[in-house]
Amino acid sequence: MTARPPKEALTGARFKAYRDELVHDWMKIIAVLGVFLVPLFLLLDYVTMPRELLGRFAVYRGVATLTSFVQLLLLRASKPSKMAYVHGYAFNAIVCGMIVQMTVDLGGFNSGYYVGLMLVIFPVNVLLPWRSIHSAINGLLTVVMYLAANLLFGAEFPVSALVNNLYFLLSSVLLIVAMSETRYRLIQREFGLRAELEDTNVVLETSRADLKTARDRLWSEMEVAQRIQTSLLPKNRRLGPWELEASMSPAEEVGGDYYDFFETPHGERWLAIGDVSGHGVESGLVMMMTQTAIATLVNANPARTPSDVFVHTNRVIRDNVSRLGGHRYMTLNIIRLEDDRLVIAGKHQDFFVWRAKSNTVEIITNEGPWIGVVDDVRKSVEDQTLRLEVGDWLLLHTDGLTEAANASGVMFGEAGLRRVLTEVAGKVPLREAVGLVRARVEAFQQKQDDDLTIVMLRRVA
Amino acid sequence: MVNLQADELLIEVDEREPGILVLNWLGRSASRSPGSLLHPWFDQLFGVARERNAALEMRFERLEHFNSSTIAVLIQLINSAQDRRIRMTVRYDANLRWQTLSFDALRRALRPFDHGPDQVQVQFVAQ
Repeated sequence: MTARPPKEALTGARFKAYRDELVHDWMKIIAVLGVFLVPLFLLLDYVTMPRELLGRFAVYRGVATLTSFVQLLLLRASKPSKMAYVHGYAFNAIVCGMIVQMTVDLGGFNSGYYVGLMLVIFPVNVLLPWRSIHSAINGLLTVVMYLAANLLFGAEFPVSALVNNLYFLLSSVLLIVAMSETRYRLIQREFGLRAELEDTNVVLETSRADLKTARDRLWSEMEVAQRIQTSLLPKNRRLGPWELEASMSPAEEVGGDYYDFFETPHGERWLAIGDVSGHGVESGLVMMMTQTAIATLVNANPARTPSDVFVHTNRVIRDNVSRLGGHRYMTLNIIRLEDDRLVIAGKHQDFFVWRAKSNTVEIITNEGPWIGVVDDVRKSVEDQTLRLEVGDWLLLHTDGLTEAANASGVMFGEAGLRRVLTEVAGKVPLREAVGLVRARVEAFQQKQDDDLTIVMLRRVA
Repeated sequence: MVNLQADELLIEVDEREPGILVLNWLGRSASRSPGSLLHPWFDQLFGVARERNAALEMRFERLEHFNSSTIAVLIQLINSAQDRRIRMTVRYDANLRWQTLSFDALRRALRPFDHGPDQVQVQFVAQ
């Protein structure tokens, strides 16, 4: 079923303006045709017409050509308006008048030159996209003009000649009326569909603009979240005998990786690293909750062990994520930095320890439960001790490093991390070493699918 | 029960052993939102397991990799199976670090004394 164009589009001012512009443009083309074709037929006259009439016909054609030219100039100089219709009638009257006068000169109804009238009324009334009523009036005026001139001034004629000529002329008028009406309706429908399309485009443009505004607002909110997350990252690079450096590169605007190191007012030094399952704002929120929970717990009570902090952090995160109705879990290591050792609780990625004395890398595993799976993890988590000598380095990371994959799907892996740590540890400053490890992973991976977090520390005293 | 194929992940259902539905996890699970496919499929699977009073055995040894979004969904699925009193065994490769990290931590979290009175125990077997 064909959709009907909206009524206001058909009858409204927009369509009238469109139609008048079409009539104006096409009238210019008709005038150009008149300027070139009317004199061109003088060649035919020269071959077919009696010699004594050639001069008179040349004058007729000259007048018709000149008026067509004047019409062309007027049309070019004016803007589309109802005047184009007047030009249509005038052109038809002048050129048809010329032909009517020629039929009179050639013997009235006995002359077959009346067919020239059809040659004019067809293009004028079919080309001009006006209503069929104009075509009907224009065509009938031509017929009346032909009848009147030949009845008054033409030679004697048999009735059959009159009937024949009128038959053809009136049939032509009927045809052009039908063609004009069909064409007009097609233009109406085309305009209706086009107007509908334009209206839809306007709606689409508006929707797109609204969408862009919403997106920009969301982006700015994401930027705020990113800024909050970044501003929570630690600034202090030296905690007692420990020098620390870190780098975090989220895969999305807000990452799910977490690290922190700080000294409490009581003089205890803490380090934590973790990875929230999933990505995006929700994971970023869990990361921020974790940071707040740990900082609050260790600042409030200096006697807490890492496992105790882990147990309470788990309860807070589990409770908060449940309230949010989300499903986020986390691997987490909470580490207290003693003068010569680390006391570790929780489960996260393996530790990479570079021993300065032997220039070797040890990989140390750690044990503990996921954060956020169950309410109480007291019996699942213990403190683990790792001793570091002066000059030893420790590398902590999230799985974005070891699981970074190249184009073939091969992962950077623990072997890659061990290799790069061996290359940089003890040879370059800590900050440069973090940058080198990150650069090596970034150069290896085809694209970053996960957050990349590196924390390195060195015992300096 | 038909297998689940989602991008690079294939979960193959083996129903040959009576009383056990074996799920072989194959390929890789790297989707950012794997739950949209895994949850409806597992809902159906849990229904079948309940109907047949069958246990589930999930085998991850041949899985190349899953991301942290997948482990989050997996934890929910395990919890859901426990709530429906479906016995479950999880088998993984102890030589793959990423598997031991995820499943050791999960095993610790789901130790027997952490279970509610209505929940059944999940067995973790490192091969």
